[in-house]
Amino acid sequence: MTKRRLAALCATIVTLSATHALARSGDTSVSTGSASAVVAITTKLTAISALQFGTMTQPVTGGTITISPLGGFTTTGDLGSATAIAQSTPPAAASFTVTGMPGMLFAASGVSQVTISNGSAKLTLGQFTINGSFSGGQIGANGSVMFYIGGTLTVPAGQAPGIYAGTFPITVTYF
Amino acid sequence: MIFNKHILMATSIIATIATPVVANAATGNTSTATGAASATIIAPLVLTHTAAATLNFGKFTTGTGGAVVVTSGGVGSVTGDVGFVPGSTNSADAFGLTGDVSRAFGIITTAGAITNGSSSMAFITAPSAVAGTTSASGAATFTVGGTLTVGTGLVAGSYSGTYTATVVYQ
Repeated sequence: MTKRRLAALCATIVTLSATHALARSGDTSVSTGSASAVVAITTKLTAISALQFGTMTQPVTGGTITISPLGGFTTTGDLGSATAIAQSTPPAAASFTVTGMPGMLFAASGVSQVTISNGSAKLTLGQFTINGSFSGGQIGANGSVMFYIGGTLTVPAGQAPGIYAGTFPITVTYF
Repeated sequence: MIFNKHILMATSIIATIATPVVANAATGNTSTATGAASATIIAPLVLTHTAAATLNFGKFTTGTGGAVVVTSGGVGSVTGDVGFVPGSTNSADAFGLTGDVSRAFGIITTAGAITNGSSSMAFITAPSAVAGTTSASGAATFTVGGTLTVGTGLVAGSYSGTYTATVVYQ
């Protein structure tokens, strides 16, 4: 064992010596290489405001209400007439703030759907959209940017009255 | 050899420590936040005609015609040549509704006609209010009066008909 190791060690020394010799034998050119590293600021996503679908009358035939991340909402079925009532909390897109490296691009992603509930009664919330046309954004020069999330709530006919609440995860990743 | 083993072990420990540190650093690329979502569904408006209530224009003679007016309070009066006969009574119609608590709603009532065979008299209606607010328990009531146009040549007898009342959240 020890002998073999020694032999290997010797071989290494020989090789090193040869390399050394070669370097000295020709023209020498020295160039400075460059090395760099950037310690990126950790990205941080913060939820600011909730995705609010507002108040609607119990639908007779059911339908959907879609909140645009750009503002405003659209409905299908009889959710149109169901939402045509006084709103103490108007429908609104959710807002998030992402902080990190100025100018960095980020992708935002979520889950396909979640449920929001009122006791045992549930509603399905899905088709999350960010800023309408793309799935990410760019952190501003000041190191942060706000973006909005919309979604579609499906309300079946005769859904139990009540206040429904729930959560949904959004993840941002540098790319 | 023993010394070497120690070095190897030490290296292994460093590697073990280093691995989670590297993993932690990578998570700085990603951040997840939980958004909140909310929706409120309120009870539908259910309008019910109060049993036995009716917009009663009373019993009258037509003469050369005129009108019978019944207020939403149920008080009747006549115009033109129309005259109530003794024992005639008037009443306003009545409705009850249930729905969301303390929520505003509007009231719409239509015109109609009462008939007896081919003989007919038209009427318009007037609710006690064109809008209201449900109580803290989600209930409300309203009454409906009206004005009946009385022509001439009407067949004597009992006339009846209907009209429509609609309530809608505002």
